[in-house]
Amino acid sequence: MNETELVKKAIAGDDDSFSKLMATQRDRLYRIAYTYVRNRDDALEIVQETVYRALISVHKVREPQYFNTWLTKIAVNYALDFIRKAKKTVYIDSDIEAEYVPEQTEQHIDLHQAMDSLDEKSKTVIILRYFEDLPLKEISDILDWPLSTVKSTVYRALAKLNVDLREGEDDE
Amino acid sequence: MNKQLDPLKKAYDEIVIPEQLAAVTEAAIERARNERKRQRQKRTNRWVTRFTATAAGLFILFAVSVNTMPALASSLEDVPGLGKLVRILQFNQGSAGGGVITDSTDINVISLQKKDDLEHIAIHFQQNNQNQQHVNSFSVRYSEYPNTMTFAIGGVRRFTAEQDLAALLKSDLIEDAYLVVSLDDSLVRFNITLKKNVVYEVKEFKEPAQVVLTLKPDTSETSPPPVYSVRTASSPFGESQGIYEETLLGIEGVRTLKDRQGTFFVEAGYYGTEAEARTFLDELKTIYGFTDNLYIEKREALQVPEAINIDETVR
Repeated sequence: MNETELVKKAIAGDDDSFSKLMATQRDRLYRIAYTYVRNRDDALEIVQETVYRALISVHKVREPQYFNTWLTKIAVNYALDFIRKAKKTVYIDSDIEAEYVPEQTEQHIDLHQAMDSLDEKSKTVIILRYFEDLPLKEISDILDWPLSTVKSTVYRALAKLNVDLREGEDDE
Repeated sequence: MNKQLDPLKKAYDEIVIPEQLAAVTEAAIERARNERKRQRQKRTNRWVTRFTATAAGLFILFAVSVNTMPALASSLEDVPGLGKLVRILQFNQGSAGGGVITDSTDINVISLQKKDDLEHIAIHFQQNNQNQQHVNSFSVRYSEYPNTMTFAIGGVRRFTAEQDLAALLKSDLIEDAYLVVSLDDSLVRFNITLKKNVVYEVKEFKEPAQVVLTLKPDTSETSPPPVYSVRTASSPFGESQGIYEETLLGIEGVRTLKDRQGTFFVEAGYYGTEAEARTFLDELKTIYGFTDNLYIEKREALQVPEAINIDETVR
C-alpha cells in the first residue's frame, strides 16, 4: 500500500495505518527534535508528544498530501514550545541567565556549534530547508509565515552560518 | 554557496536514532487512542441523551410489543432437531445478545421454515465439521426505516451459509438478506431487511447450537411518518463501510445498509425533521470532524434506501 492510501485510511480512523506511517516518519521527527534540544530524552519526549497530538487530531487533516507537512508543523511547534519552557525553568531554578544548554555529545559537536550561533527562527529554516530538504513553500506552510519571510530568514541564516563556518576554517 | 552546509547535513543525517524510539512512538499512539476513547465516550453520552429524546417513543412502543408477545409463545415446540433452549432474547432498545465466546466457527447453514403464518430462520454452527454445542457470542439488533434485523456473530472464521442468505428471499416477509462488511476478521455480520412490520422473537439453543429467529406479520396498522437519514454516499461492498463505521463509532444508531442498487452506505442516524438531520450532519462535520461528504435522505418506513453516488452529487 502506498503512503497516500495509508494517510487516507489513517485520517478515516484506521490506527494501524497511522502506526505504519509513524514507523516511517519517526526517525525524521527525532532528528528534527534532537537538533533543537540535543539530548536523547528530551528529543524522545518531543517525538512522543508529536505523535500523540497527531493521532488525536488526525481526523481533521483535510488533504492527505499535506500529511507530512502537518506532522512536521506539530513537531516544530512543540519543539519550540519545549525549548521556551525549558529556558524559563533554567532561569528560575538556577538563577543563571543562560540559554537552554542541553547536554553535549562528542559526535555532533560541529553541527551543534554551528547551529548554536543561530536564533530559533533561523535554526528552524535551516533544519527544514537543508537537512529535511523541504521546498520553501512547504516551510512557509509549516511555520505559517509568508514566503518572503521564509526566504529572507533563510538568506540571513545562511549568511550567518557561512560567516561562522569560514571563521571556523580560519581558526584551523 | 551551500557547500559549507554539507558537513552539517551529514552530521544531521548521522544523528543516532535511539532504540527506544519505536517503543516511545507506539506508547504515544496507545495513549492517544485511550484519550480519544475517553473523549468519544463523553460525546456518546451526549448523543445518547439526544437520541433518546427523539426516539424514545419508538423504543418504548417497541419494547412493549416485544416483551408481550403471546402470539409467539411456545411457537417452536414442534420444530424437530432443536436442542435445549438457553434463552429467549429480551430486546432492550432494539438490541439483544447471547452465546459464549468461541472461535474457529463455521456458520454452515441458515435455513428457512414456514409454518402457518410463522417463519423460522435457523442459524447453525459447526466446528471441525461437527455440530457445535454452544452458540458463539452474538448480538441482534432490530432497527427501522427500513425494518432490519442485524446479526453480528463473533469468533467465526468461515461463513459457508453465505449463499443461504439468498434463499431467505423465498420468505413472504423478507425483502433482502445480505452480508455486511466487517473489519474484524472473526466477526460475521448480516442484515435481514423485512418487507413489512413483523412481530419477532429470537431464541438461543444449545446441544446443538442454534439461533432461531421467528417472524410473524404484525397486523396492527401503523404508518409511521418518514424520517430524514444522515448517511454517507454509496460505495461497493468493502472496507470503506467499515472505515466509516469506525469513524462514527460510539454514535447511537450507526449502521451499514444496502441500497436499491446493491451498493452500500453507512447511516449515522435519522431524525424526524430535515432541520434536525441538518443540525446533526453539521455537528458530525464540525464537532466530530467527519471529513467525507454526508447526505440527508428522506425515507418512508419500509422503503429500501436509495443509492447516492459521489460522482453525481459532486457536480
